[in-house]
Amino acid sequence: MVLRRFLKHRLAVTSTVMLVLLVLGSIVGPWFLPAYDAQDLSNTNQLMPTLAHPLGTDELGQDVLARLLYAGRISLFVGLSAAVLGVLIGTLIGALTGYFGKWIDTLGMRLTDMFLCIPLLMLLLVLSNFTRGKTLVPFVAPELQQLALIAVIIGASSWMGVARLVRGEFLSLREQEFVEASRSVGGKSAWIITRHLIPNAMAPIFVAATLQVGEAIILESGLSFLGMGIQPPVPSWGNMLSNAQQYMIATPWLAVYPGIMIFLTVVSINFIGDGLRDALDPKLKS
Amino acid sequence: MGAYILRRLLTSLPLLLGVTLLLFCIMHLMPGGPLAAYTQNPRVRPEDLEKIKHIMGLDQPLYMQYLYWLRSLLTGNLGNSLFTGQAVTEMIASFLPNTLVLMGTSFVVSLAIGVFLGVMSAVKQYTPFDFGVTTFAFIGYSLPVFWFGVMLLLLFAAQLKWLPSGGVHDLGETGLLDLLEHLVLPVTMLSIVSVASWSRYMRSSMLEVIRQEYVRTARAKGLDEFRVIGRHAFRNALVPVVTIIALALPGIFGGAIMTETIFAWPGIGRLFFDSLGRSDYPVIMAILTISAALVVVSNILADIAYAALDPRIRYD
Repeated sequence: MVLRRFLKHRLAVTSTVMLVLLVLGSIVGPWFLPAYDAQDLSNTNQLMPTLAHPLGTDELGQDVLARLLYAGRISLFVGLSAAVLGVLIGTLIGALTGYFGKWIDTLGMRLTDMFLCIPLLMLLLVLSNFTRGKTLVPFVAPELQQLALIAVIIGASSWMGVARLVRGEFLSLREQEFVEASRSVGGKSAWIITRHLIPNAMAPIFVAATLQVGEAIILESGLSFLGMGIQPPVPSWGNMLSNAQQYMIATPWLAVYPGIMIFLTVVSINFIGDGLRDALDPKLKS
Repeated sequence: MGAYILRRLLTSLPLLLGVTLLLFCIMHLMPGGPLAAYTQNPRVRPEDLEKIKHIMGLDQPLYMQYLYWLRSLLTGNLGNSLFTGQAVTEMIASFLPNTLVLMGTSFVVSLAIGVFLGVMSAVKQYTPFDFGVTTFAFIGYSLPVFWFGVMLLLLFAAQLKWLPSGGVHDLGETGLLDLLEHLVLPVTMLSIVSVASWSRYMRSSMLEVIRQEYVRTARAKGLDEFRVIGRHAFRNALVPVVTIIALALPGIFGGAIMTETIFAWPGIGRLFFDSLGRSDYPVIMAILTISAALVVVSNILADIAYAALDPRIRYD
């Protein structure tokens, strides 16, 4: 039923196909394309697009298409993990405040209000500036550390929307009969929250999580663009753009690609989120 | 109404206080902390560091430091920049006008275009025009704004050379025309998202109002369509949108960081970004506090505007 409704949303289906292509391309693509290697300077720099390098090469002679796809892995990974983390924190806070109410609600919601008062980009910049180069997970190469770090920073700064959403859902759900029924047969709070309330609030959470992935990808690339996110030589769509900005007169096309990749990814994620909303919860359709 | 505004202001004070506390904790718990500007400097010896710590009061417990900071904030003293030694208030005062010019222009432009597009696409619902505006809004939602800015720069400044690539004025110029020339690209970049989202809200609010009975009554009275839409529908449709617009103010302020960085616009966003790179703790803290205060004020403005515009809402 849900699937059929989703398939009716033509834009969402097209977007799904596009996103699958992007994801597959990012995962598989770098294996088949001419290796990008920061140390390999034997290539000619800043080639126009040719058959061997369909999108040309950058100032270090690296194949741009391969780098774009490799950057896709990174952006998708960071976006997805940041969104998952943000949704987890948001659901936790929303569930606690919505279910228990009273002082827990006041405390949680005031905390949410406070976080909402700090402009997101400023908060992200402060956090990433102070944590740059720090170790988060032991025994992992520093190039990969930064991915986790950026994901955590974005996740920890963008849970407020989900928290409010889940709280709202819980406020109405907890008054319903099946919750009372569960409580009457001795169901504990933890049981009621995880077994009854969260599954019932899953649809809007899932939609919010999908849209959050797109948002997180934009945030990550924005941070990387400002030099406060993923650091080269690890490619990200954001840092590729900021790099291309230096060669705007000689090779203007290099600045065009990363934005198109971000745009295509985020547009398809947003349409998928839209389609999911219509399919999962027809009541919400605007 | 007066009592409502007063109550709303008073209840916002604890929130603002909480935000400053939160910011203070974030800034202090971070590795490096407020001393980062000095620890990164090889010419500062460890014993100097201890002295600086003492002078800055960093050897005191955290809550005392917060209270000291709060006390000087209340007296209008935001400390001195660790980089230039200038008073932070002075620095902000010298950068703020540029940001206000940029934000203000962008606000007026997006308001005019966004509201116009929204109203027109509601009136012409399901026409190619409406479809075009809807598509544009969806694009605006997913657009990486910084990339859009770079594209503007690339096309109109680097390639076509129609417009200047950055700054507020050309060297030696102070005229209004020169300023406007420099404003075109950054304002376009800063406005694109708000135009997209405000046109969307305006459209749906307008569609709702058009179906109301008082609009039908206005038509039945024999008023011409322009009067019906302009006088009766538009004014009422604007009420919920005013809230959205007030709430979007901080977003424009935050967007100024990207815009000012790309277009070398010497404003608050740029100052914030540069201060981060220099670990200029007092400046960062001051700008964060001001931004948070701006958010709180926008929220209050949104509520007041809503209460003032819609006679059905009573807040007493």
